[in-house]
Amino acid sequence: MPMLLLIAWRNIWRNRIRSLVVIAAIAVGIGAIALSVGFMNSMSDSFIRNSINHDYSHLQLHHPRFRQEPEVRFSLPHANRIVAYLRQDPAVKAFSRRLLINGMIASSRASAGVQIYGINREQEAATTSLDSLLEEGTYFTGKSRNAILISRKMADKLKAGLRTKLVLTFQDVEGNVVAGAFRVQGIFDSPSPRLNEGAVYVRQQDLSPLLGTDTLTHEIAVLLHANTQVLPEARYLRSHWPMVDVKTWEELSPELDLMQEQSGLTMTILLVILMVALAFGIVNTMLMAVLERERELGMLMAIGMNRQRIFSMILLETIFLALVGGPIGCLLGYATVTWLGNTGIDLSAWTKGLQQYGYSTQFYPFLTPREYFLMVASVVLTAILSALYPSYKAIRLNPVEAMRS
Amino acid sequence: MPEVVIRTSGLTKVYKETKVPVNALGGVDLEIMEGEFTAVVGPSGSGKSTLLHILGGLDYPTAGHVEVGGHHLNELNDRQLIDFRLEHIGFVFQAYNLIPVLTARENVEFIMLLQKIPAREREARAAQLLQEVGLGDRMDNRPTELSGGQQQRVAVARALASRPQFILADEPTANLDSKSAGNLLQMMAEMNRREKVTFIFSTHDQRVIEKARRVITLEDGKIVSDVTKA
Repeated sequence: MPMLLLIAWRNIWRNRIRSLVVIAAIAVGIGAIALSVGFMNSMSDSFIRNSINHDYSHLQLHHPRFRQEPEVRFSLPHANRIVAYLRQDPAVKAFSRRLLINGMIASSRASAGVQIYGINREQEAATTSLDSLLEEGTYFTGKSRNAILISRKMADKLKAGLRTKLVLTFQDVEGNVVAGAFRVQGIFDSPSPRLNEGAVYVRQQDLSPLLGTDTLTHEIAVLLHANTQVLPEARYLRSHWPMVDVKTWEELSPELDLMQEQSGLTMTILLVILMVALAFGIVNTMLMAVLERERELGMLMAIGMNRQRIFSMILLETIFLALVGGPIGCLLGYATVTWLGNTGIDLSAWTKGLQQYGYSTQFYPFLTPREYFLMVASVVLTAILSALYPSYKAIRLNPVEAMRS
Repeated sequence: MPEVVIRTSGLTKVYKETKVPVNALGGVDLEIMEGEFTAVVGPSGSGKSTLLHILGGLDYPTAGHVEVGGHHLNELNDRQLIDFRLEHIGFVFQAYNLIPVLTARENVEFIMLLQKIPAREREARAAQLLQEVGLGDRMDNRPTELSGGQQQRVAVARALASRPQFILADEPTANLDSKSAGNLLQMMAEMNRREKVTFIFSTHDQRVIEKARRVITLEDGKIVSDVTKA
């Protein structure tokens, strides 16, 4: 076998330029795929990170019926005990206890349906960094009562600005329609299209009197230190408070899950496209190599090299090409992805469009070890499959005719 | 008492690839004994190469029988024929046909590797054979670094490496200059005398015919003369 390896290895260098072209094609192909997948990963990651950090958090806790019927009366059971637990849980980075009411908002010129978040100022800032998203105004500063934060989109819709008076209308705990006047203190621009579309923030202490009670909690959003803690934490909370609806970010936002799936699908599609192109290149190259060496292959069969060995030799030559090109491509991809992962890709020229879909404007490509492995494995597998036809052609040669060629 | 190495009876080969079938061999009966130095001669198209291909297990006869060292080649399938060639026959081709990416030593070793001979024995025999063909100092040269005559000597060493029952040499001197051809023939004749290696040549070359102890002449696929020199 070592002699067969030696022959196969030396054979690929008989036509140096042709082999180098194939190796370069493999390397550049893998490098390009690595960069594309790395970029897709960064987009997906940016979307998911924005959703977690500015919208859903890692976990949300509700009354079991609240998500289907978001009525005021469906308050989270055991909210105080849960809050006490979350305060001392080392896995929890921050949490925000909220009132959540569907209602109407109206300015003197327009009105719209909204989701009213009654929040604790500090908790919300720590959990969703809402304070950092303000474009104008301040984050519930001063002692002024009935301040409200609205999104830029909502402000445009209501033709409202800072200090504009807005009226919120909703049902209280008894089912009565109540209304309260609020003054715009800040205008935010969230990476979450959902929040930009229809969320307004007020302080709990301003909302509770209108609801007629200060004992309600509709939602607790929990931000953890690491994504890996999501499932264990959810399991723990579910086992201790079975009457509470505990949802992870993936369950809360199917689009995030879809995003991850899309990212995987994109990688698969890109890989398949590259591999098909690569397969044609390899089949072409190896067929040429076989046709050029018909006489030699015929001689090998004549002196007693069996067809299985001839087949293995052609297969090995192809695998060698892939094994040289594959790691070079991986290194190329690794270097490019690592460099861009550090410096970032600035797409601020498309800020508006990207933010509309919940993306950041700076992307940091990255690849997981699994993705590197997949790329190399796909290249080797493609090389083996592509070599089957030329190898088959080689073993179908008739030694006498081949030597006459 | 020398044994019969090759025996054919009624060996016929008809090529049907063209519209008009071509009768390459028309009933050849032949016996070749161990240690012979035989030349098969005849004009182009007389059937020399076809006969050698069938004797070498590279082709099947259309009719007739061929027996080599007790093996009936007609009964062997393609796979068995490859193994048979490896174990029993040495080939020397007109165009040398060495493996260009291997050195002289590796070319000679290669056939023994296919026979699964242990590395140490392989290396020793390759070195010894190359010494015998006068290439002791060119063992690590690749074919492109050797002259035509030297390449053909490597081919002879390779053919001998597998310890075959006989060596089939198809026009071995056709591509060589006069001096190289003479040296090569001399070397093969010595091996035949010393080691009793059986050589069968297909040739047009008068020098080979002169050196051969038996000359079989073919015409239109039939043996028209079979002369053994005294």
